[in-house]
Amino acid sequence: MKNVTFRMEHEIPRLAQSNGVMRGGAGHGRPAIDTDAKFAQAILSFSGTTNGELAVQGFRELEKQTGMRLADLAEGSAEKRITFAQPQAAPVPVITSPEWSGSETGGRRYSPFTINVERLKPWHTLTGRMHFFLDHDWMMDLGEALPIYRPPLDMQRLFGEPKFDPNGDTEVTVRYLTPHSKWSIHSEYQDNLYMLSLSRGGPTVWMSPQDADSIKVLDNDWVECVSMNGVLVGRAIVSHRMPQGVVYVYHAQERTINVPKSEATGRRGGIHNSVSRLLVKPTHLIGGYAHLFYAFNYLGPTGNQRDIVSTIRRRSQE
Amino acid sequence: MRVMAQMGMVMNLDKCIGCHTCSVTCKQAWTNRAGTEYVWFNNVETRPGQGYPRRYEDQDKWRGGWQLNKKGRLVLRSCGRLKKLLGLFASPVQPELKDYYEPWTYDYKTLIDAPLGDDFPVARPKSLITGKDTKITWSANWDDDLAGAPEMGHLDPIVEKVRKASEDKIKFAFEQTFMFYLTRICEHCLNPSCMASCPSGAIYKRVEDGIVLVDQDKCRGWRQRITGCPYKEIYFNHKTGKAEKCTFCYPRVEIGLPTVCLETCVGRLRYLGLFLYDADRVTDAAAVTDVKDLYQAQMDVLLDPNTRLVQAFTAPLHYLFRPYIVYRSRDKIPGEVRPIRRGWAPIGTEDRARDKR
Ligand code: SF4
Ligand code: SF4
Repeated sequence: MKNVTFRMEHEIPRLAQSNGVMRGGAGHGRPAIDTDAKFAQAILSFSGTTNGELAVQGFRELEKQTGMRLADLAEGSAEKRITFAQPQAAPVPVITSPEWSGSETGGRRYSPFTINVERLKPWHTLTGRMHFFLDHDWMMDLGEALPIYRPPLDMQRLFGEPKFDPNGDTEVTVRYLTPHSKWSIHSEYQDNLYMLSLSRGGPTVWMSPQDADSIKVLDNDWVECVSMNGVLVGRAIVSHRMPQGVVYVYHAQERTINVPKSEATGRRGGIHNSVSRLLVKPTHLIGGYAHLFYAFNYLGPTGNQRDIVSTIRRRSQE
Repeated sequence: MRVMAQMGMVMNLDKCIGCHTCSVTCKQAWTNRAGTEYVWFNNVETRPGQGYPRRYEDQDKWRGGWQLNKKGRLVLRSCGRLKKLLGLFASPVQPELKDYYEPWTYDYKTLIDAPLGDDFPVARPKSLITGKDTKITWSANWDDDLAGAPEMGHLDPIVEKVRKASEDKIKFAFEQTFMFYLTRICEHCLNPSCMASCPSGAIYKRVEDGIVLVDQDKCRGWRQRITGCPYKEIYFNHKTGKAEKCTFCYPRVEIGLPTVCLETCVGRLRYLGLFLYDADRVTDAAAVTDVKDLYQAQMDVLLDPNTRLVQAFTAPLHYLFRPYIVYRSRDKIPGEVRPIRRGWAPIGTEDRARDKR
């Protein structure tokens, strides 16, 4: 991960001790990860953020590569191991680890690139510095060597999504944006009672008055956002803060708080990302070129999964 | 001239990002209890918006604060003292729960305990007042970030007023969008109308720092002062039947810590400090007839501690009468704070008694 090799010779036997080993089959004699709890324990054992020994080991490795002093960021936690039981009982702060670029050492709050800025760890680019200019041939060919504006994809033409603008007076197709929310970090804290009491108390969809009028939606009515990928159910917030033709569904409002089942599918709808999807573009396929590479949950240049359109319908109210 | 000290907070509203951190930390510290579920000593409203409680600035309705009578004297807007006393048992004009909001929680437990099914379970809202299922139709900050403004924005009393005065100039349209956050705590007024309208005299302004507090032992729950406060910063605790309000975190301020809202403010927009003012001139300043003069009038009440006049009025006159050398213990009652070490007891106490030597 990020060019740091972790050696697991201690961890695997230790996991075998806590989880037990498999008997028979392909995994014979290997640590058991046959239940959800054991699998969670395996993740916690193999990450530097939850296993101090690995964090120190990773930083030592990184010290060799960079010539900078780094291991002190985790040394105080070398003995610390977060087991699955701990976060179940109460929130547990993680250990500073080379997997991430921030530092939580000494009770600091996480902020990206702290280690790069303060400890002069080079960025994972060709020069080791931040780049505005990417001189990869493909980036040049596609005109993206410098940051540029790209208009949204024509989802109607490319993927046969419905046309913009009202379609009769029951549905309207709009751009579907998912900005980061005011108080939660992805889904964390999005169900915080105090913040819900200081807003609308559940999942919401911000709409312009024009779009709302076109499908006779009043403020706080239930609506459904549908696309080829999925459906989201939320309450409309009608505000002139929104331009016509765009809705905001703030990031990761989980479907756990006060949502009815969707009418489109008869089942519980999803969250904001059920309606959006990742579209791979050619520059994503650049690999093995400094920071442009593929890793799990990480895909080179900025994606375009927010070019999504969605059809909004008023649904039966509760 | 009567020199008084006031602990004051200045907020630079331009820097507020409306994150509500202050409200949440304040609530967690002070109103995280049964009886005060709906209470937010600190809140941040979006303007244009109705505020919390709804339309509290509409003084024609809520009758808070002061007004000038025919003789140009300051009187409570609600009514005179005698009328107040006579009307004590009638319900005063005051916001009801629906004007604040009906506080709720969710049956979060369902999320964990629901039996296995085809669909994800959902936590439904339950009223914190009745304990029953509820529908959320209003909250402590329903119109956050202009939410619902096209439908309800005109209900903001200030919008209403400006629209009347300017023949419909405030428009709720995307191209003309404007908004700002209004961060609110109790003002700890120099001339608190809540205190003036409290029949039992339970509200007092501390002489050392001007913090306005409710004496919980004296409060009889007449609820007159909820009407009295123009900002509706006094809340009724429906469990104890007494009034409560922002305490300016006095237990923290007393030991040199800032208030919770200040310490946690993300925008770093709150400033705290002690200033001096002339208590004799407060009423006159509040009685100016043109609102545009109010700001200057308030500035004129403040005193510069470095002027000779202020120094003269705060001169420690008792110096003339006290002996040159004064002995005193740090603790009022010796031994109360920490035990007395052997041999260090103050003179006249037991272990210095002759027979113990
Ligand atoms: S409660 Fe606070 S803001 Fe309201 S009148 Fe009293 S001192 Fe002033
Ligand atoms: S914490 Fe500060 S910035 Fe955030 S809402 Fe409160 S006053 Fe504004």
